[in-house]
Amino acid sequence: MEPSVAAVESSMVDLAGVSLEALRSIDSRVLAESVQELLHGIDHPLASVSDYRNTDSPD
Amino acid sequence: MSAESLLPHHHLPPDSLAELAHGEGGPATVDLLRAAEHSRRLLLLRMLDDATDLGPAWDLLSAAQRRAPSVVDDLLIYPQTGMWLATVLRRLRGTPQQDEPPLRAVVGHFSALAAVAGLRAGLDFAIDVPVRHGRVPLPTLGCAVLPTTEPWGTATVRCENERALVEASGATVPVPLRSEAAGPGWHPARRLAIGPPDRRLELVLDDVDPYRTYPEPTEPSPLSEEAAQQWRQLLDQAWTVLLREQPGTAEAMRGGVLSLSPTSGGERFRPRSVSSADAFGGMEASKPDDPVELAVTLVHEFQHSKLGGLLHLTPLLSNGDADGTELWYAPWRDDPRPIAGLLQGIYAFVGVTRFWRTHRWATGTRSAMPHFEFALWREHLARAMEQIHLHPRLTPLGATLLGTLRDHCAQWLQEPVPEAPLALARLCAADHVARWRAHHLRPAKSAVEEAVRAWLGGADGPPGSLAAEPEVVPEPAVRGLDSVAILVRYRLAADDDQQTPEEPEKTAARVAGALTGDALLAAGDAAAARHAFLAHIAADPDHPAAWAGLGSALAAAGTDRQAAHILRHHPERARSIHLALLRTTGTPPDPLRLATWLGSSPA
Repeated sequence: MEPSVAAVESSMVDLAGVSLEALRSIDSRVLAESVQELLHGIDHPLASVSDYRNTDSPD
Repeated sequence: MSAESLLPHHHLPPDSLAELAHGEGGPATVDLLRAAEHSRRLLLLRMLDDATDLGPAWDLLSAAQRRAPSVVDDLLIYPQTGMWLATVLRRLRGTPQQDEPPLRAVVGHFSALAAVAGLRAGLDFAIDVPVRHGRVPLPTLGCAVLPTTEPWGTATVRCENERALVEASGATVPVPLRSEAAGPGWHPARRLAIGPPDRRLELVLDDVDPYRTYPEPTEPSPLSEEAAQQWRQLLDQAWTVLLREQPGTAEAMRGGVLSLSPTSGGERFRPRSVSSADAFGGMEASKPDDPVELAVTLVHEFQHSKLGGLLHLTPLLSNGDADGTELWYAPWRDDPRPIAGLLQGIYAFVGVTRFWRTHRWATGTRSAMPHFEFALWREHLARAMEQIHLHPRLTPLGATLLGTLRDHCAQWLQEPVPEAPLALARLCAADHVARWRAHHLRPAKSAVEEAVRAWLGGADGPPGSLAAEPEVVPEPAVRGLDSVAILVRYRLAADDDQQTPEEPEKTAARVAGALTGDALLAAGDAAAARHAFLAHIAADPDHPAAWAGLGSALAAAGTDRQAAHILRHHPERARSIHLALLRTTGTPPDPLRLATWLGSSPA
C-alpha cells in the first residue's frame, strides 16, 4: 500500500491575473513572506543547476 | 493573520504530489508547476523593481500587457527570463562580485524584453537596449548585428506602423515581424513546432539569448542554417521516439519543455546537458550522437524542471543543523555531491531508467545496448538511494518521494535482463563506485600508519582500525570515472553495426580519461586488463583508477579473490597504504601481495 500524500499549501502567493500595474502597487508587507523564501534561492544559486553525466558545473 | 494570507497561495493537490513522487507528472500537474513559476517570475520582477530603476521599460511592458496579455505571459515564463531575473538579483545583492558584463547591461536586458513585448503586441515605441559585443539580442525574436567594436553599448529599438528597426553606430537593422527569415544584420530565433498538430512540441531553439546558458550567461552564438536543420531533424526523430514509447511523459513535456540551447562539449556517449531551477522548461544540450540520446536528454532535463518546480513550492530537505559539508556518492558524476544535488540526480535518472526500461522492448532490435542501459541505471539508482533514504534532513514529503522511487527501483531490479548486458552493467556499476572511492576517500592517517607498521612488522593481516569509515576528500580534477561504461558502449555499438572491434588501445584513446586496461576490461579480456593495470600502477603508483580497475579485472578473471575483494570494495586502502609504504621504504610493495594482505582478516 502506498503512503498517502497530503496536499501542499505553498508559502508562494498566487499572482495569476495580476497585471504589472497592480503588481507594482501591492503593499510590500503583503509579499514579504514569499519574497523572503525567494531570497534564499537567489542567495544559494548552487542548489539549482544540474548537469547530465560528467561535467564541471555545480548542481 | 498576516497581510499575505489575504492573497491566495499556490497549492498542489495529493494527486499531483503522488504523480511527482512516482517520478512522473501529467499535463495538469505540469500546468500547476508552470503557474507557480509564473507567480515566481512576477515576484522576482517586483523585487527587481523595488531594488533598482527599470526606467521606461516597465511602462512599455505594461502597455504591451494591456494590448496582448499572452505576449507578456509567454515572455515571463520563458526560461531565459527566469535565469536573467535570478542573475540580475544576484548581481544587485553582490553575489557574485564581477565587472563584466557591466550592471547596466544586465539590468538593461529588461528593456530588451520590453521591446520584444512591444513588437509582438504591435505597439509604436522607441526604447534603448543593450548592445553586447556588436549584437543586440531580442529574447525569443532574434539578434541584430551592428558594426561596432565596443564591447558594451546601447542601441535603440524603434517601431512605427509595424515597421521595426534596431539603430546604433550609424547603422539600421530592420527587424522582420511577420516571418522568421534572416535579413541583413538580422539573425532570427527559431521557434520549432515538432510532431503532429495534435501532439506538437513547441520550443525555441535558442542561440541568441545571453541567459540561455546556465548559470553563467554567454554572448549570442547564431547557429548556421545547416546546424539548425540538423537539430530540427534530431528533435523531430527524438519526439517521435517519445510519442511512441513515453506518450504520457511526452504529453506533459508539451507544457514544460520550452527552449533548447545548443551547447558545445560532449563526446561520443558522453552528452552534456544542463538545466536550472531558475529557468523552468529550459535546457542546454550538446549535439547528440543520435535521436535516442536526445530523447533521453529531454526526459532527463524535464525531470530536473519538474523537481525544481516542486522545490519552489515545498522543501524536500530541511535545513536542520546541516553544515552543508556532507558529501555523497553520485553514480552519474565524477565528484562527490551534497544531498540536494544527489536528490536532483536521483530524480533525473529515475526518468532515464524508466525510458530505457520501455525502450529496450520497443525497438524490436536485437541490440544489447538498451538492456545494458536499463540494467546499469537501475543499479546506479539503487546504490544512490540506499545512501540517503533514511537521512534525517528529508521532510515527510521528501521521505515519501524517495521511498516511492526506491520501491519502483526495487521492482525494476527484479526484472529479467539478458545475461551478457546484465554482467556488463554490473561490472560497470561496481567499477564506477570503486574508482570513486579510490579517488575521493581517505582512510584515517593513524590507521594508515598502523597498517604500514603492521606490514613492515610481518603481521598476518591489517589492523582493525582500517575498517573505520574513511573521510571524503574530494579530488576536484577527477574526470572519466565512467570510462569503462563508455568503452562498453563502444563495444556494443560495434556489435550492433557488425563491425570488427578495433584494438583496445585505439578505443581507449577515443575516450577522455580511459586507460588501456579499461578498454581491455570492456572488451572482456580480464587477464590482459590485469596485466595492463599492474603496469599502470608500476609506472604511477598513485593512480586511483588503476587500483580500482585492477580490482575489476581480478574479479572478472576470477583470480586473487582476497585482493579482488579489497580492491573492488575498499581500493582507497590499497592506494593509501601502497603510497605510504613507498614513502617510508623507498620501494613500492607488490600491489597484489599488498591487496591480498589487506583483504585478509585483521591481525
